[in-house]
Amino acid sequence: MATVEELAGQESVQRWYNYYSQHWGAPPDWDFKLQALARFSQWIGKTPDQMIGECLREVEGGYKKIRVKKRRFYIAKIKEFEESIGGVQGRNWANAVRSFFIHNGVAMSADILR
Amino acid sequence: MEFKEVVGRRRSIRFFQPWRPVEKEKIQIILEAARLASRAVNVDFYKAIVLYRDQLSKEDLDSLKTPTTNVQLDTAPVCIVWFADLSAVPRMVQAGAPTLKELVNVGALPPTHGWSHAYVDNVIVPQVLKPIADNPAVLAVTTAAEAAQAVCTALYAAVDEGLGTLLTALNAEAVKRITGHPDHLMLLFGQLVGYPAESWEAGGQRPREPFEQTSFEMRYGNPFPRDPKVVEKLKEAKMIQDPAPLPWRQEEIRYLAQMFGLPL
Repeated sequence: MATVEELAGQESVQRWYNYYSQHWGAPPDWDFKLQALARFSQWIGKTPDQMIGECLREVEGGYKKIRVKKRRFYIAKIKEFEESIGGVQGRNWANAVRSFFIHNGVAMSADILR
Repeated sequence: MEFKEVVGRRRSIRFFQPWRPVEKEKIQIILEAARLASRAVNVDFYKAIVLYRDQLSKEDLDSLKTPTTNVQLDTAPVCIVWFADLSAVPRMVQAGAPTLKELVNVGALPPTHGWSHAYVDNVIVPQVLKPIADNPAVLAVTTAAEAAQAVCTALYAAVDEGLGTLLTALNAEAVKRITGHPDHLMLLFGQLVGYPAESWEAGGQRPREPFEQTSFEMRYGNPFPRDPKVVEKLKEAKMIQDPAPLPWRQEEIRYLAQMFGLPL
């Protein structure tokens, strides 16, 4: 769908980088994070901006509201994506995608590893 | 633990040791503490239902989650679900406030302060309790505020027992389905209880508004003077502790995220 370079120019990806960096410092594994997002983006057939646009809608006062069904949809899809890769690697790739959603204001988590 | 230290050590713990159960005795102590909390008209305004994570199906556990109540539910072995009992005041009205009369009988509400059975019958029931019972909004606020006193006491009891604890939101529909609670119970919080997987400091004491902005003397806006000597005394007693963020907090979260396989 989109290359890593194209991805980096997306507004939602820049927001991800900025919010992450504000709290955690510049991510040392940024290239990996972008690769993971690019792979997910390809897998699901949507750009990052499209995914976030689907999950959030503007409401009065300039606020954004989460679309519950879309959030659930992406939670399930990320899990599916994780399982398609499998193991710790799958978890790492999926967590990079989750991080992208989280720092765009779409709260999500993962089951703890057992 | 001394009371001041209990107050100082309380934090919202969000990472628990999932492998370590909580002794049933400690859960009972928490519930016993709630039962003895301050309350108006000596009535039970709360109900509590103890849920054990390991006795819930994965589907039920997941259904309790909200967008930001997730990992803590997966890791805490115990969740005490707290409710405000909206039938408490109406029952009091209907029964003629027997618990209040009991307080008169045992001398807790003495005539020196104007208390008598007649006062309860003629004033408190018809003029105080009935208007509350008849107004759903006032009833909800009053009952929740009273029940919250019990919940607050339960939190401190958990800390005193060396446990980590947290009040968190739960999915109300799932709570109803799992516990089968009656409609007159209004869900307040889930109190998660377990042994912390993060350090008990959990990053340090949380920031608060300046003392002078919340506490006044005689008139609103006239700050209660904060004596630095008292502050020092409270620091010695461990009620006032090192403020968040402690320098190692971010690293702690990184390690916890790695241990549990969570996103950052």
